[in-house]
Amino acid sequence: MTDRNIDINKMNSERKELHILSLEQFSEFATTLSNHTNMDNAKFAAGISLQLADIRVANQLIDELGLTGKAVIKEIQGKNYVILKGYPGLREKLTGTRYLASNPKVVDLAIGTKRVSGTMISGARLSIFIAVPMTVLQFLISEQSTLLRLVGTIASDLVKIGLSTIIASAAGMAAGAITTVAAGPIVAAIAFGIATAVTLEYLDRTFGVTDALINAMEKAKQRTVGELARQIVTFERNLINDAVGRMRFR
Amino acid sequence: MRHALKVTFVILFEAMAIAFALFFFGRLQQQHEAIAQSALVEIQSGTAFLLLPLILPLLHLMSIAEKRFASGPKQAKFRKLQSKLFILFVLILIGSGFVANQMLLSQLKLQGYQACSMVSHQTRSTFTTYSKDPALCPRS
Repeated sequence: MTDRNIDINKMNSERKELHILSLEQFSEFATTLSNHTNMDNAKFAAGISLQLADIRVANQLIDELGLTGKAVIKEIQGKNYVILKGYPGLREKLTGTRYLASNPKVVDLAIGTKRVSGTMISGARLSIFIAVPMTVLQFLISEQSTLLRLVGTIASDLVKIGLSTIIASAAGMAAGAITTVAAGPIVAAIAFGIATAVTLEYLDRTFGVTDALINAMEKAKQRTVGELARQIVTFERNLINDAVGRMRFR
Repeated sequence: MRHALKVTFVILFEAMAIAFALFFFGRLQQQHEAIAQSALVEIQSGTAFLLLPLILPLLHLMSIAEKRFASGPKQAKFRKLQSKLFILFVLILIGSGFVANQMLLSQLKLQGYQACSMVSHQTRSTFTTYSKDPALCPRS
């Protein structure tokens, strides 16, 4: 009895909801969803969330230091310090003149090239977390899609997001090497991130990279799983023909 | 980062910034030619930002100018100027991209092109086809 009570309490504390739909109900749900929402627009909005997140960080930094604020990274006794130029009294959060590069305030505002990379990576993560479920939902409610198309589209999206993040982070580092303008690395990272994303989308559309990937996966499936299925069908057919032949013989 | 590696890295990204700008102007020219010759013209969103990476070579030029021409008391003045130039360049680069795209769209409208209802949404860009005759618009 006590054990039963404990289980009920545990179940209540970890309550989950599961909706089971029949095929007809799901079809009705999918039709309603596709009639009332534009999944393409939603997916596009999810895709640019990476840039929006970066712009938000850049905006915070510019608010604090001004677009022209200067920050220099210096290594003192084995530790990296961010030295801020200008009047500390005019700043809201960073009221000191120097901070350890690992200081949470400095990290939050993405000052320094390493912090810019961190910001780009967390933005990419956000983009993936939103874009992938969106793609899955889009494929679930679409009538003419295959699992291979879903896998191919997600794989191609991930590669594009990954590539633009790498290039954006590296551009932030390059800008950090040539300028002391605090907003320079984050602005360069955003610029290169957007330019790479736009170029990759163009290349994908022009050369059909995603379609080629899906076709290659389809061919690979035909060569492996498809071939096995065909062999099994042939084997079954031969077995049936053999049995029918024996029955006639009798 | 070692100096030689840093220099290589910066040169690589500056070359990439120039490549993005060339891509922007190449696409623009391609689309202007398509307006004169083709029944369908495809416009990609977000291309106005392709000029923005040029901020990297411009920042580099400013830092070279600072080292060459501004020393001692001049340096503080130059840094202030550099900061203002940075804002100006960002605005000019974004603005010129948008102006060039708007000019293209105006030309499309002048020539009687209309946007097709079918818009292709990629993850981070959209492709809109413009046509003089709606019957020629792609269906899927």
